[in-house]
Amino acid sequence: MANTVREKIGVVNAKDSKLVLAHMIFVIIALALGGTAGLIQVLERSGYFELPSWISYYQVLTLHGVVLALVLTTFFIMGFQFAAISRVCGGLTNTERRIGWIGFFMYATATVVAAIMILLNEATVLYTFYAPLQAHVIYYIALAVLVVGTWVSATAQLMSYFRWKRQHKGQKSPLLSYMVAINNVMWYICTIGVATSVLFMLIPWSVGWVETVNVSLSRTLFWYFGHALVYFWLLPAYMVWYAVLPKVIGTLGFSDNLARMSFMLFLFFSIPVGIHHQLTEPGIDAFWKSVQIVLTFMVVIPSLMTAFSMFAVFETYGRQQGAKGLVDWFKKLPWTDSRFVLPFIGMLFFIPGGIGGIINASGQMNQMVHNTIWIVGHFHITVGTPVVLTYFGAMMFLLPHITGRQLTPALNKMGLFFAYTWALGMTIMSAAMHFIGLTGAPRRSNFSEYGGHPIAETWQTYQIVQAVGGTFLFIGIMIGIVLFIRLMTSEKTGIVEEFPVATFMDENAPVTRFVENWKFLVLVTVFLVLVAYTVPIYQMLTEYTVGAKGFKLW
Amino acid sequence: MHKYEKIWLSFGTVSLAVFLLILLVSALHGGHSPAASGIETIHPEHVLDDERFANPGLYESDDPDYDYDLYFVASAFRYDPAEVEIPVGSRVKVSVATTDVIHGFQITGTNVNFMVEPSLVSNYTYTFNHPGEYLVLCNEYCGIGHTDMTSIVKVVE
Amino acid sequence: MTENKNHEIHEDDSQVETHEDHDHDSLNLKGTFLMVMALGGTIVVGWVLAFLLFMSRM
Repeated sequence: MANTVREKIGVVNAKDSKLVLAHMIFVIIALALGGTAGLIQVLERSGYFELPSWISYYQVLTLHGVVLALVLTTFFIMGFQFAAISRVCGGLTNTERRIGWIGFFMYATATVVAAIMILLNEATVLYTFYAPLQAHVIYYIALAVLVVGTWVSATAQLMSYFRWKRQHKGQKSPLLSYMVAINNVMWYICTIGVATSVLFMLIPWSVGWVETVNVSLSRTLFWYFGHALVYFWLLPAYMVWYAVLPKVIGTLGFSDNLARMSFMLFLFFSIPVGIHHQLTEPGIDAFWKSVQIVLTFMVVIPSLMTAFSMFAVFETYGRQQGAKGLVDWFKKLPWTDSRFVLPFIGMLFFIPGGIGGIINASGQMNQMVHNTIWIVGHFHITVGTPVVLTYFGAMMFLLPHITGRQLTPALNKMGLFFAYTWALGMTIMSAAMHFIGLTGAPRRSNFSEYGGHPIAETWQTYQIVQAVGGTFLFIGIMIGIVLFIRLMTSEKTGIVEEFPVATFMDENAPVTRFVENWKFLVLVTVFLVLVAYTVPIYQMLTEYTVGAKGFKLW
Repeated sequence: MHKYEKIWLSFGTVSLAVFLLILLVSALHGGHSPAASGIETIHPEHVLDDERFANPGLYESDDPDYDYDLYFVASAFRYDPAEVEIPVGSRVKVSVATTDVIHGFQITGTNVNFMVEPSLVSNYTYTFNHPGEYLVLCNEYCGIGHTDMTSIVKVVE
Repeated sequence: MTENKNHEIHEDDSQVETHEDHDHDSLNLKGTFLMVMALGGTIVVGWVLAFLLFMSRM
């Protein structure tokens, strides 16, 4: 029996747990802050709530986007990845852990500084900080430190993975560690774009060393990063779906090899597609937009693979429990286990989320939806539900696990309440957003009557609906905050909640050769990036004559 | 790989390829590509010195490929012209430039929707087949007066 | 039905888990196939509706 994979001791040790816990605390604070901002937004946009004079809608929007889509996500991902690596690779070394803490302190400090700048109205540039709107230089420095901090933490995680491989030559690496490595390598490669833009363009420009900035180039570098960012968020959710959920349910994972292959495809196709966020922009030839559209369609394929794997796991489990029909195996799934229900609701939302994504990427069809509130509806049912509900589902076991506690039946029930409230709120809010987005209702906009044009009245009606949905979401968030605090502080029972990690049906099959050949992986990734971006960026560097000066219009 | 997964992935891949093909054919046949594609530069501080943007509005075109040129200037926080009338059925090349930051330009209810960026001119040719009064708005955050930026396009018989 | 050959699963995670591999082809995945094809159909229908809306505005 070749290549038996032995699962080592299945816990995150005490020292690593502290590092993970530090991250999770920031996640909870971010949820509270960002969620409150969201509530304020939907209320303002309903037309019935006016903000006080000392804070603008756009400050609140900047906070909402940065705190939820940048801070909550990054802190969860880094914390979860530390936990996963520690869990399956036998624990971090002292050096690795110290490096992890350095990374944590960097992005924790940067986050606080960035938040202060936003609240001081020095960075009301939204989470994409498009030039030539110009924020205070301290804000850009904070963002740069945040990104560099994540490089530091990612390095610690990769050190652990490669150390395990050295110490277990010839053996298949634990699936979670492979997945973390893929996500981090993708992160390194894609953050180069935003780091270049911030360090070499926006900081010198905002401090006055250079007068103008090449706007098109700065946007393109941002979106080179910005699309891969959503996969940086999504992949940890897929880690839970592939490598944790089967164990939660009580069965084996479908295929370790196919899971690895899907992650490899994500590494290849997540980055050379950023221009699909720029399809209606001047300054880029139609041909290169089309190249990136084709590459974008290819990144759909690993998600199709994932869908099959998920259903296969559910069906296999259901049949093990005695289901005989075509679809009645669904009923056998653990519908009272919040560790399952939260991610499952996420999967459900990913169906319209993915369909919307394909529509968004469809070349000229993008003009129908670009910068409308449809896009906001879309990302709330992708990052806003599949991703974060899966994160929360993981927190249901992770928070008690790292604090030596148990997921009690009472807290589990609270988790279910949380899931259903979120689902209700999100359905209402997102459906309204998708609908009026198709009629042209814009995103990133405070309440306005648009000069009395009749279409704006329709929009206001649906914005009231969005406020209803958003209110349910906020109620859900309050439940969530209380839940997470309780998961970390409830009375210890002596039983420590397990961190479930699945074994697979093809556990003993050898890994497909090239899937873990890092030279090959990086080469292909970089090659695709060069194919997709060389000409457009070259054109931006050579065909542009004059850059733009900075503006502060808020 | 399980045979059902092979069938599923084949179906999925072929569907995606068919979508792309449909988009390609419709783009070539309809003579349109993603809005604002191409590179036309303009000095960001001399937009109003360009005669097209010094006097924006609808003009009959010399080009045989389309009927009218429609020039708009986007700035914080207005569009010039504030109103324009277009005969129904006209093929119009819309050209927009910004005097300051990035703006959006969307004629709501139509497929005219693109970004306007400093140092560039955004061009998009579109046939206005359906009569009506369309709200033009900015859908990219440009500052505190972002939602005050509107115009009206009237497509008349 | 899945055949568990020489299959040991310990609920207590601190022990070692080993097992023989499972043959995918022996699994009954008809329900999975139905679900993914339904998903695929939904994707196609959704996309076509969006395309038609886009074309109606051309």
